[in-house]
Formats: sequence, C-alpha cells, structure tokens
Amino acid sequence: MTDLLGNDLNLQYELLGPEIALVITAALVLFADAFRRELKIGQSAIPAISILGLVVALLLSLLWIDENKDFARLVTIDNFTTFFRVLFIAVTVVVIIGSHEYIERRVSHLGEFYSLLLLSTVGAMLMAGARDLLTAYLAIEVMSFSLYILVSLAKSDTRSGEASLKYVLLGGVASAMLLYGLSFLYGVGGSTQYTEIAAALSDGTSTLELPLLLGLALIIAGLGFKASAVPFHMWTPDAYEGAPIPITAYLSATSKAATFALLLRWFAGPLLPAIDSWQWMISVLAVLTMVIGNLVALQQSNIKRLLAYSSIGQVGFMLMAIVTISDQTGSALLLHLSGYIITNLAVFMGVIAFYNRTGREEIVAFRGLAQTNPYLALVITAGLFSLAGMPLLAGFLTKFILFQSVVSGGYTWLVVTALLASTVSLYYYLQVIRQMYMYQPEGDASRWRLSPTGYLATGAMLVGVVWVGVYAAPFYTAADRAIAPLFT
Amino acid sequence: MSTEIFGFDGVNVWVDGLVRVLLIVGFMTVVVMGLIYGERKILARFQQRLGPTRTGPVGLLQSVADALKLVGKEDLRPRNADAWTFELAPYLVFVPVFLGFVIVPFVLDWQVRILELGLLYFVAVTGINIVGWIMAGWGSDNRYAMIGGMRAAAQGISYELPLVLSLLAVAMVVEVPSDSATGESLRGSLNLNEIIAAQAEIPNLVWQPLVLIVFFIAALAELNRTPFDIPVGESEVVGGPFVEYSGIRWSMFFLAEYAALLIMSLIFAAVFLGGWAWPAGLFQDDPWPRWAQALLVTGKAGLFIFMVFWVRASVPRLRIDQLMSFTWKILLPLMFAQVLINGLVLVYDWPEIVLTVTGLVGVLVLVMAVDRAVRHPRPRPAPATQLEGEAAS
Amino acid sequence: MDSVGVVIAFYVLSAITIVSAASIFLLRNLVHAIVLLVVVFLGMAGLFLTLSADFIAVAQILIYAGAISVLFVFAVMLTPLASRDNGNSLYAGPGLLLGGAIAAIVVVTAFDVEWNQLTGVALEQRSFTDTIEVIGNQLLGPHVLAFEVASVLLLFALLGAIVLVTDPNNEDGTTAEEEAGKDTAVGGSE
Repeated sequence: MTDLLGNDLNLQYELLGPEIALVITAALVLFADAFRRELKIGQSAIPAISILGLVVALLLSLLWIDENKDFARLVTIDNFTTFFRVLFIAVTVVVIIGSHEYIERRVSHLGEFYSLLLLSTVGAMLMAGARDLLTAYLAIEVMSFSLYILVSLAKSDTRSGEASLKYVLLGGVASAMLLYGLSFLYGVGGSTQYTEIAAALSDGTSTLELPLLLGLALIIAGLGFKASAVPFHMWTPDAYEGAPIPITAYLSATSKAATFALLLRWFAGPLLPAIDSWQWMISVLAVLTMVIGNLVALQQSNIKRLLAYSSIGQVGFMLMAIVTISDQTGSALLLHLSGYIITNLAVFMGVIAFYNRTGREEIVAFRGLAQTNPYLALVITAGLFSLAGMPLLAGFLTKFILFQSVVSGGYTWLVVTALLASTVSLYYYLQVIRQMYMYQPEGDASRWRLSPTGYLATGAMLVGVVWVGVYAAPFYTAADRAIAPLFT
Repeated sequence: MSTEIFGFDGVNVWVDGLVRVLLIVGFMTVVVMGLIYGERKILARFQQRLGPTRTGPVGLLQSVADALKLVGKEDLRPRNADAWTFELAPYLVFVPVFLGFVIVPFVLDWQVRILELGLLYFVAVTGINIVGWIMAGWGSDNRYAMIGGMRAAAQGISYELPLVLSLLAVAMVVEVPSDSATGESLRGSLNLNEIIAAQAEIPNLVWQPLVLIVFFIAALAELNRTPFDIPVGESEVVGGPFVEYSGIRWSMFFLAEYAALLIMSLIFAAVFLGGWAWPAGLFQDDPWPRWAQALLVTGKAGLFIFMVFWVRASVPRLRIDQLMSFTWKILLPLMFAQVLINGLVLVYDWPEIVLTVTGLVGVLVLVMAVDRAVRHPRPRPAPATQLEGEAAS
Repeated sequence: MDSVGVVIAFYVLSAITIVSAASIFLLRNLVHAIVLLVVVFLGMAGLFLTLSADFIAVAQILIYAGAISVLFVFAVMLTPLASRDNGNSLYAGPGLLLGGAIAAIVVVTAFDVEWNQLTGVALEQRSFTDTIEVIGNQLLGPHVLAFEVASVLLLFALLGAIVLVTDPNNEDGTTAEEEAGKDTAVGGSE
C-alpha cells in the first residue's frame, strides 16, 4: 500500500511485536483479574502473567537488534528503539517484582493496576520509536493517561487522589501546549514526518523564523512538563508524594527516560537544523532545573519528595546533553539515563521494602536502619551515593562521561554549574544516610528481613549499580550503538 | 451562485436554502399537530376508549385547540431558576431537530440539501439536544427536574451508541453505483439518496433485520418514549426536566418530541424500508411520479409511527438501571458483532445471504436475552447514596 | 477568492466564537460559561465548514457539542454550589498582561508569515473533493497504527475513569476517602 504521496509503506506487523504482546498481556491480565474466582487463581498469578508477557516482549524486541526498518513510515525500529524497549521492559519487570507485596496490600484494583502499567510501557516504547509527530503525540498521551490513573490508585491515602488531579490538570495543559507547538512545526515543515521536517527546515526561508520560534517555545514547554524541568516541575513533588511508591519509582524511571528518548529523537532529527533557535532555550532550562531542583531538595522531610527533587536535579544534568547534542553527548546521555534508572530503582525498591515494614515515609523514620536491617541500609546508601556521584558506583562514571562530553561540546559553564549543583546534592543525600547510620533506632529495634522478592529486586539493582560503576564497557558500547542511527 | 428550485432557474443559493427551510418548518408544524392528534386517537383505541371526539369532526381540531390554550397560558419561571439556562433550554432541544430535517429525503431530488455526509450529520445533530435536556433539568431549580434531566442525558448518550452503530452497519454495505470505468460496485455511503437508490430491488430490512430492530429500540430511547420514558415518566418524576415549564415553552418541548419522532420515522423509512425507491424499482427502472413516491414514504413513515404508538400502549416502563444495562450489555455487543460481520462480508466478498442469516440469529439472541431478563429479573438495587452537590441542598 | 457568502459567514462565525470564548472567563456563573463553550464549539464547526473540511466539522459537532459538553455539564452540576462561582482571581492583572502578550505574539506570527506560500511535501497533495473518503482511507491504511493505538487508549481511559471512582473494598462504590480520614495536605512542605 502507498501513502498520499506515493511512498511505499511497509506493513510488517512483526516489527511491532513487543507492543502487541504487551497489549495482549494487559487484556489477559484484566480478564484474569475479573474472573479470578471462576478461574481459581490466586492474587499472585496476576503479576506472574504480567511478567511472562514482559519477558515475551523482551525476547521479541531482541529480534530486531542491528536492523533499521520502519513500520508504515510511522515507527522506526532501529538500535535506538531496541535499546529503549529493553530498558522500559526491564524497568517494569523490576518494579513489578519489587513492589509485589506493596501492591497486594495497598492497591485495590489489582488487574487494572498491572494492565495500566503495561499500557504505559507500550506508550513509552512507541515514544522512543516514533518517526511521525502524530504517532509520537499519541504515544505521549498513552503513557500519560495510564500514569494519571495509576497515581490515584493508593485509595487509602487522600494525597493520592489529589496528586492525580494535579497531574491530570497540569498534564492536560502541557499536552495542549505541546500540540499547539507541533501544529506550528507542521505548518513550517509541511509534513509530520521527522525526515521531511528536517529537510524543510534545512532549506530554510527567513519568513519561517517567527512561527518556528513560537512552535519551539511551545514544544519545549510541553516536553519540559513531561520531563519535570523547572519551571514546569510543580506537579512532580506532589505526584511523587501522593502516588503509590511503585508508581513513583516508575514515574522517575520510565516517564523521564521516555521523554528523553523523545527529546533525542526530536532535537537530533527534525529540529537539528534549527539548533540556533533552541540551544539557548534548553540551556536556560537546564541551568534553572539543576539549581532549583537541588536547592529545594535541601528542605524536604519526606523521602518521596526528596527523591522527586533529586530526580528534577538529575533532569537538569541530562538536559545539558541535549544542549550540546552530538553522537558523543547522545551516547553519554543514554549511559547516564541507564545508570540513573538503575540507581533510582535501587533506592525506590529499598524505600518500598521499608514502607512495607514500617508504613512511614519521613526521613527521620529511617533512624537506625543500619542496625535493624543492614542490608537494606546498604542498598539505599549505595543508591544515594551513586546519585550523588561517588566513585565506584554507577553515578560517578555516568556523570563523568556526561560532563566530559558536554565540555567537549563547548559548554563548560554548564558543567561548572552542574558540578556545583552536584556538590549541593551530596548534602541532602547524606542527610538520609546520616539518619540510617548515625542514630539509634527508635521504638522496635529488632532486626527484620526483606521478603524474597524484595531481596531479588534490591539485590539485582545493587549489583547493577556497582557493575555500571566499575565495568561499564558493555553499557557504553550498547549506548554507542543505540545512538548511531540518530546521527548517520 | 445560483441554482434551480421548483423549475425556477437562477435562484441565489442562499434564497433557495431559505425557501426550503421555511417550507420544511411549515410542513413540520402541521404534521406534528396531526401526529399529536393521531397518537391520542390510536392510544385511545388501544385502551378501548374513544379519545378526542368533541372539537371539530371526529375531534380533528383538538390539536389546534391545545395549541391555542398553550399560547394563552402564563409564562412562568421559578424565582430561583437560572434565567438564561431556563429560557435557552427549549431552543437547544428544538433547533437540532429542525437541523435534522436538512438531509431527510422526502421524494427523489426533493430535500433541503443532499449531503455526502448525510447520516453522520444526522447523528451529530441528534446529539445536541441532550445538552438541552440537562439544561432544562438544571435550570428549573427543582430536584425532580434535575433527576429527570440527568437520567434523560444518561439514557440519551447511552442509546446514541447503538443508534449510530446501526446506521453505520447499514451504511457500510450499501452498494453504490460507481462512475469509474471499471464498473465494479463500490460499497459504503453516508449519502441518504444513494442509500435509498441502492434499495430499489430489495429493502435493507431483508439484509439487516437485527439492525432494524436495534435502530427501532434505540430510536425509542432517543425519543424518550415508552418503554424508555423514565425521564419524563408522569408517575415518577412528574414530567422530568420539563416540569417547571408552562405555556409556549412547554409546547416547544412537546413539538420537538414529535418532530423528532417524525424525523426518526423518515430516516427509518429511508434507510431500512427503501424510502421512495422500493418497490418502485421492482417493477420498472424509472422512478414513480412524485405523488406516488410521497405516498410510499408517508406509508412507511406512518408504519414506524404506528409501531411507536403501539409499543407505548402495550409495554410497561423500564427502570433506569434496567435501561442502562440493556444498552451496554446487550444492544452494544450485538451491534459490534453485526458491524464485524458486515466488515467480513465486505472484505471477503461473501454472498449477502450471510448477512440475513446472521441477522436473524442476532434477532433470536436478542429475543432470548430479553426473555431471560423478563423471567429472572434483577433485584432492585440498593438505594443510591446521597446525591452530592446542588441536588442535596 | 471565496465567494461573498463564505467571507461573511467567516466573519460572523469568528465574531461569535471569539466573543463567546472571551465571555467564558469573564462570566461569574459557571453554567453560563459552559453554554458559551458549546457556542464556541459550534462556531468552530462552522469555521471548519468555511475551510471545506466537512467531516471535521460534523465530527466536531458530534464529539464536542454532543458528548464533551454533556460531560462538562454533568461535572459542574455534581459539584457543590460554592465552587460553581467562576470567581475573581488575585492574578487577574498579571494574567491579562501575559495573555495579551501571548495573543500579540500569535497574532503577529499569523499575519507576518505567508502561510499559503509554504509548500512542504505533504502540502502538495491538496485537493480533495470528498474529505471523508480520504480520511477514512488514511486512518485505516497508512495511519492504522495511530488508529489502533487510539482505540486502546480510549479503552483504558474508559477503564481508568471507572477505576478512579470506585473502590472495591466498599460495597456501594464510594471512595475510601470517607473511610480513611487522613487529611495530610500535599504541598505543605515546600
């Protein structure tokens, strides 16, 4: 079949195997949950079905390594897409395994929770693979809608519904701005395909300055919301605090990573010819995000809000890589993203295990954790030190490579700001560690153990953090191969 | 731009449109008054009484007398009723029905406008009067009116789905004569003229029996007619959203209801019974003279209207939860299955008799489902929790 | 260019749409604002018609005026009376300034650029006599992925709306808010 302009369309549905598998799994999960009594399956069968589906999707996506095909000129399946598919699926698997008991205890709609989580992953995968503005926008909406609802599912907590409402309202406005910007981009570029917009922009006529600028401003505002960049970050602390902790973990991992995948696709593809127009916009955004994210985190007393602001600060570092976009910074960004995700998941899995035992989220509640559960304290400490950038852990290596590539891109002043912000961040990470190690536990001081799935999740993430910190070569080559299709 | 109307050439397009609209308005008002009288008489006969007999011969001037009475009534408005909403609601209910008459084909080549999107346009304007019902219910500052308005809106939205799907199912398989050189027939049209012309030999009643029944039921619900008239049920919410309206305003609602009935019957005649084309096409290839076509259409529309009155006289009212579960759990899945089968027949070029067979099977399923519901009725649900917001005050 | 009738229609429809849209945020009564929103939707449908986008116009009426406005009305009517006041905002002044600035930018952009001179690859294919057929073919052909993704999205949005409101732990479907009684407010510790 051909499209309107006579281009041949490749309708090979196997290219979309992972997404189709995940949607089918989501439907199966819904059915299994609805007919649980008739089918005589226990509650833990539902996460098991989800993980099975995720593994199948993972295997299907590994089929397309080193290929470069597109589906109907809407979705590209290349190394970049495969990298992100694997990443998102892994994140979802870890989140499901580590938060298994939390969900059973505190989330009432079991089947809907898992199916929405799977659907959100589908949206994230399509965001990374889209090569058409409409598909990208739809994918953003798929991911966001599922997250709006997932944030509200901790029914016993009033903050949950409030967080979801704030997220929905602000997310809706941001989506509207994004769409308006995309319509300007379409008007200027004459097509919704990335390659054709790039061609139209690099021909360039001077009458296009104003609408292009306006479109860029709106797009950056809309995407800045999704990535929690300052000043579009106000939803993040509230959404992170109110959501069930597994969803907070998922938000901080997949939501950010998908947005950055999209940012890389857009700013290295259709918008690259207009780089003079948006470079200053994003560097302002990066500076604001780094500074304000880290400064406000200093005053937090709730671990979830602290981690929310810490992830805002990390977004600032990652935005630097977009400013100096090139294949070197791109691969550094992908490496930093992977390291950041592994680290964040380590911390969050630890926080989930802690919450399952004590039901408390304040930082002062962590007192004496080193004595009551030294393994958990170790995991959380490793994660926080890695976020701060201590050597031998993932954060140090990935940050180092990221900063180095930005410097070689010519924006040394950004890196200086980043280093200062990083030093500031060490303070609030140390706060938590201090509570764990330097104080006696209050109340019940008996030692307790994690559940088997808790050990599995936290252990895997701890190993990951250390591995990336010490021997990152396989990840580095993966990132290199992933970014290559964007810059050929 | 100019066009021709009634044999006068060179008339401005806007003037032409205006003339046609005015003709429609006039026609509609007269026919609606006749329908009101007709309903009272027919209902009376079903209930073994006489109906209006005094005013005029055989009571024919009853509607005129009613209209005069309503015009003379005082125009009341509750003190706390929101003025704008209260007064605007009748127009929002009334105008979309008129808009629907734009695409209805009365006889060959006679309608206000022939639109390629005829059916879609019809569906779209049918949806606007739902807002009118809610506004009428809320603007009356009356608890019962608000409940009635909400129920009317919920019912209207829910039954819009089977209505649209039934029209879609028919539009999908309509055979359109193609004007390309290959001469192969195209399928699928929303243009009512083409739909009617395609039924010259066999009406869609034969190919889509299930769809016809579902359209009938959904149309009953959209018209707020028994057995779906819980929003305006006199014994329950005393007239529903229209309880606070009097005189001319109330007559506008009443008029809108019968005009909607008229337009549904005309669409039904056009889409399912072949409009002005069947059985004319059976006997010869030329269309029949205008007056014969008009009689045909009147007869078919009259059949639909009679069936509506008949159902009103015979069937008890459904509860709101029964009504909702009927559409979402029975009608909608059946219509989805029907659309799927229509699609399969289109794509794989199966013989059209498949449509009839599956349609009849669907009718059987529907009858069995209703039968089962009648024999094992669901228990009445627990009383609803407190209404929130305005209704609680 | 276009005929006189279409130009007059454009100006009339634009005036109706803009005045209604401005009145939406100037009126105190929220229900009136919703009625004006319906008018804005209908005005937009008319504007689409002047651009010969017949399917989009009818779809606009069907979806926006027919369904979304009903949703809005339901939502507003189920809220307590106090929140139905489209009241004053402290930020009216700065808001108006900012809004004026944005409007000025957009207007200058709209007038400054010669939009009909821009031809991109897809804009070359411009003349359709029958938009609905082309749109249908596009949706179910080249853009089938978007169509399927949108349908999955709608299914889960429907699901999510139900999930947002019900709590299976409670028999009659009320939320657990009333049970918990926890009223820690979010956003207090900034």
